[in-house]
Amino acid sequence: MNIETETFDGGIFKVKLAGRMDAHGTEAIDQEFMDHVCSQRSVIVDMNAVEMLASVGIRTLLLVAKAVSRRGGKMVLLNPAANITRILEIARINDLIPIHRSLDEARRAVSI
Amino acid sequence: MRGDRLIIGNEVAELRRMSEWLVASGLASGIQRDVLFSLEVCANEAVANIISYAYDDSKGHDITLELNKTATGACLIIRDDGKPFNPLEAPQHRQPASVADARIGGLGVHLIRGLISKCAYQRENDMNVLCLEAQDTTQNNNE
Repeated sequence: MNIETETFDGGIFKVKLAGRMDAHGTEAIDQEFMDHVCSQRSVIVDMNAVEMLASVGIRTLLLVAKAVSRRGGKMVLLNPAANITRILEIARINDLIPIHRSLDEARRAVSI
Repeated sequence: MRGDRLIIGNEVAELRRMSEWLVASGLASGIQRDVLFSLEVCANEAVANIISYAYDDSKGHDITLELNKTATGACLIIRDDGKPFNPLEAPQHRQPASVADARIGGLGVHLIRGLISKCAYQRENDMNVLCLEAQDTTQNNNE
């Protein structure tokens, strides 16, 4: 898996995840993802290039969201593909970490 | 008719090979991509559980997968010689009220239940036999 980051005005931090969030892929980015996000309070996770999502990947999303929440921050997911959205909805992650379809919407949602 | 088969070892590193086989074998048999995606996620969950919890020893064990096309989708059969475990008896997932309340883990069986149209478990000759059936959801739009 790959991680790219981008910072926007207002302290908004975007992390773009790309690849397969299965056991192998998630292990490869787990620590880097957490390190990037642990000091942030407004986090957008761009899921558009995620091709596969298993529970091990959901675990990482939840751990990172918990870290952001503990700091009083907000985290949202941006534009996952239809099959990935289906996994997130079955796991009811969308009730805990909201999914947004556009970057503007996501930026508004995490603004503090 | 026997479907296409793969035997993997009980190591996490084998999950990728399993996924690649599942998709390649399924596409070659004309199984729809959506069906294969569901089965791939379920196979990752079920086999990761077997690798983590089914064995008390540190020996290598074979896990066998068999993929069959059905009239409405596909069926994946997973066989292992680990401790008896019926994932259908695992407790239901309880939805937390917030991220802060969310417990980490336990979502694998919940994903299987949500993605699969039919699931059956049998203990057969000291083996766990799990049959997972996924349907092509695009065929059910008018139901």
